[in-house]
This record gives sequence, C-alpha cells and structure tokens, in this order.
Amino acid sequence: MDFKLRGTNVIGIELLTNRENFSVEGIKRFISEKKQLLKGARFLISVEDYLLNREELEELLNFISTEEKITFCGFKTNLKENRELCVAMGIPCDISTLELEKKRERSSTEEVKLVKKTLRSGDKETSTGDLIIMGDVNPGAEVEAGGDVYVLGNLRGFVRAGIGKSEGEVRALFFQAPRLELCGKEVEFERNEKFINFKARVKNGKIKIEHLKRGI
Amino acid sequence: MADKVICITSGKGGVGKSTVTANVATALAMKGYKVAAIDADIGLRNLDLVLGLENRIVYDLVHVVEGVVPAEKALVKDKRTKNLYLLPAAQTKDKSAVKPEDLIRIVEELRDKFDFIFIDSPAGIEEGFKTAVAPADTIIVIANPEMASIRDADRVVGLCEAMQKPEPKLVINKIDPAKVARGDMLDVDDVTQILSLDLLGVVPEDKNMVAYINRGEPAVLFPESIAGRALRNVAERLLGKEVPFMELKVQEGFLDKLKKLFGSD
Repeated sequence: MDFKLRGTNVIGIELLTNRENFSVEGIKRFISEKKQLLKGARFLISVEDYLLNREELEELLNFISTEEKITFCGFKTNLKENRELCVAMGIPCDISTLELEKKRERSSTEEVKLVKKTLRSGDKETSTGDLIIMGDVNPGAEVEAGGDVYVLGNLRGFVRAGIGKSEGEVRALFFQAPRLELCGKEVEFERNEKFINFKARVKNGKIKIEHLKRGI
Repeated sequence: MADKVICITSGKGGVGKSTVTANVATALAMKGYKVAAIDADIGLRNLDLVLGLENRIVYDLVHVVEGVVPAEKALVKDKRTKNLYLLPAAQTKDKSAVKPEDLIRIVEELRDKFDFIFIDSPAGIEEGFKTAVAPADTIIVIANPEMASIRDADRVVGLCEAMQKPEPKLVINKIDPAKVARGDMLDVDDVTQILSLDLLGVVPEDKNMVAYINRGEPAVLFPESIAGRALRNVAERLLGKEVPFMELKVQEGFLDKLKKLFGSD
C-alpha cells in the first residue's frame, strides 16, 4: 500500500490515510521504507474519517517507538471519537476539520527555539515553530521557521517565516535585508533600505510592514 | 609574546592576502624578529613575487611534504630584509598536494626556530583554506569595504568558528576615504558592524601599491607609503602594542584647494 506524504522537514511531515486505505500493516511497511525521508522531522499520521480502535493504536505506537530516528507527534482526524480515544491513551491528536476552520492553529508540538549567536554567511537555522535569534543575521545567512521569527539584532540575511501558516510575524531591531518571505508572501526591499524596530505581519491574507524609522 | 603562527585568509580572492602577508612579515622582520612566510596557495603562488624572491626558489612546500628536503632547507632568505624567510608554494601542483596534517607538521618543524610564522591562505573555503588554517594560533581575515568581500569574510569567520579556532582578527584593506565620503564605499564602521571582529588594521588604497608589487618591494619598506604605514601599524598591533588608527582624510585635488581659496564649498 502506498500512502501520500505532505509537508516539509521544517513544518513536519504528515502521512495521509483515510477510510479506504487505512491499514496498520501498510502504514508500518510504508514507514520502514521511508525511514530516511522521515528522519529528524516531526511526523504525524492523518486518519481523516477512519475510526481507530485501541489495538490498532497500540500496535502503531509500539512499532513507531522502535524507530529511533522518527519524531512521532501524534494523529490528525476528523472524528471526535478518535480524538477522545487518543486523549485517553495520552497520544496527541488534532481534529483536522476544526483546525482548518481555525486557520491552522498552532500545534502543541511546535518548538520555540532560542539561538544565542550571530548567524554568519552560510549559516542556517530552522525551527518547526518560533525562532528567536539573540544576535545578528548577516548577509548570506538563512533562517526558516514554521512560526514567527524575532531577531534581537541586525537582520541582513534571508528569513522565511510562517511556513504553512496563514498568520505570522517577523520582527527585528534593525532590518537591512533585500527580501523576506512570510506565510508564503514575498516582500522585496530597496538596496540599502534600512529600518529600525522593524515588524512584518501577515493577517487576513495581507502583509503589513511597520517600523520606527526608515533610512537609505 | 603574541601568538606565533598567523594565517592570513579572506574567502574572496584579490582582496590583498599576499600583500598583507608580505608586508606585515617584512615589517616584523625589520623590527628584528625572525619571520617565516609560508605560501599555502599551491598552484597559484605569488607571495614570492610580492617579496621579490621569485628567481631564488629552488625547493617549495610540496618538496617538503614529499620529504625531498627538510622545511629549513626549502626556505628562501630575503635579500633585503634580514630575518625574513619564505617557504614558497609549488606552482605545478594543486591544493590537494598538501593536507592539513602536512602543514601542521611543517609548522611544528619551524615553530622553535622563528618568532613568527605567517601562512598565506588561498582564496576559497575548500581544502586549501582548511589546510592553511589548521596550524594557525591566530587568524587574520582580510576584507575590502565591499559587500562581496564582507560576505565571504563572514563565511570564513563562521568556518573558523566551526573548526574551533580562536575568533579571527580583521584587517580592512583598500579603503578609499574619498569614495567613503561620497557614499560610494562602505566605511570602517559598516564593515566592523557586520563582521563584529576585533579590528587589527585599516589599510587605505595606495596608488603606488601596484608598482611596489610589480617591483617585488613591500610597501612597508617605503616610509612615504600610506599603505605601508598602516601595515607597519598592523605589525605593531600584532606585537600587542596599542597603536591609534590612522585618520583617513580625503586628499584634496587642485580644484578643491582653489575652491577653498575663494571661499566656496
């Protein structure tokens, strides 16, 4: 049985199953085959409207727990019964439809990462959730985050934030970067354009740039 | 005494690594220190040209690595400056001919015999750079006041950090006060703000530098050379002395002087 995968290493990878193709043995085989791909990423199993039972859940959990390199973050479902069962067994479980209605609310498994150094050219920092950098992001350095990005220094490198989300923000004490990507929206800036107390926000599908002072 | 083995690197090519190496090594040798300069740019040697020693090379670094001669025998003694020696790079080989452990071994062989050993690193961040940096106690990063050079220098600093080397020191080379004043060039503050390194020297653009290099005469030998003065100051700072940074003034042309005379701006 072949299943589809969705997502990225940064925001997490979701294995998509449903009532028609759900099979514990199939999922186990699929995970074994795609082990390398799933390595290090947040991993979720979406079961949509398939009604899970306790034995299947236990079998899946036992199998995944033997795979050391996989970071299993729980299930996604459309059914309340599945969620209640998961909660009772202490397994994280999101209600997919409700989540979509809530404009992709934050998952509780997202991390908040604190980086206490200056990112130099060629450095790259990623986070599945928010990323706080206590230092500069120099030209040629890259930052990727599933959540918001806060730079307590000078942001001159490239930031891609709010990956897979509809709302998010990037803040920097000083900003002098040529471009920025937030929630899939890209903004370009003039060469040598500088901002103090910079804030870029995406809300209701629109990107808004705020700053205290601007200069060239 | 300050650290002994000093690697001069930059990431980007053409920023003045060999020029700074030749000049600072010469300046220290002029002060009576015994100095060796190793050209680690295998296949693209030019430190010998800057020092004017190109016609005296018999053995090179690769001969030493291959065990043909000991390091001391391959050294070329400078004809003008007593105490200065060059270990030239091979021109007919490539960067893979010398491994980091080879250079570490050669430097260890020379360490007790010299007060300072300079290593002129090749451009780039590959094997050659890693070999050049491996034996260094101190790393000097050369950057020109332009974004491409700064970005490359920044990358090199990050790599040095990853190699658990001490934080490099910075020399800003080829700064032109007139261009800075016009806003056509980044100033010293811009560069130091991005790289956040200790500043070891600021070397102004010197129109005579090309002539010095072509003649194989380091600028530090000429008291009238402004770049030579800045490079002598770098040598002083390497010795741990506190030397104030030169004030870089825009040189006034005839027209500027005339305008001043008639009181117009």
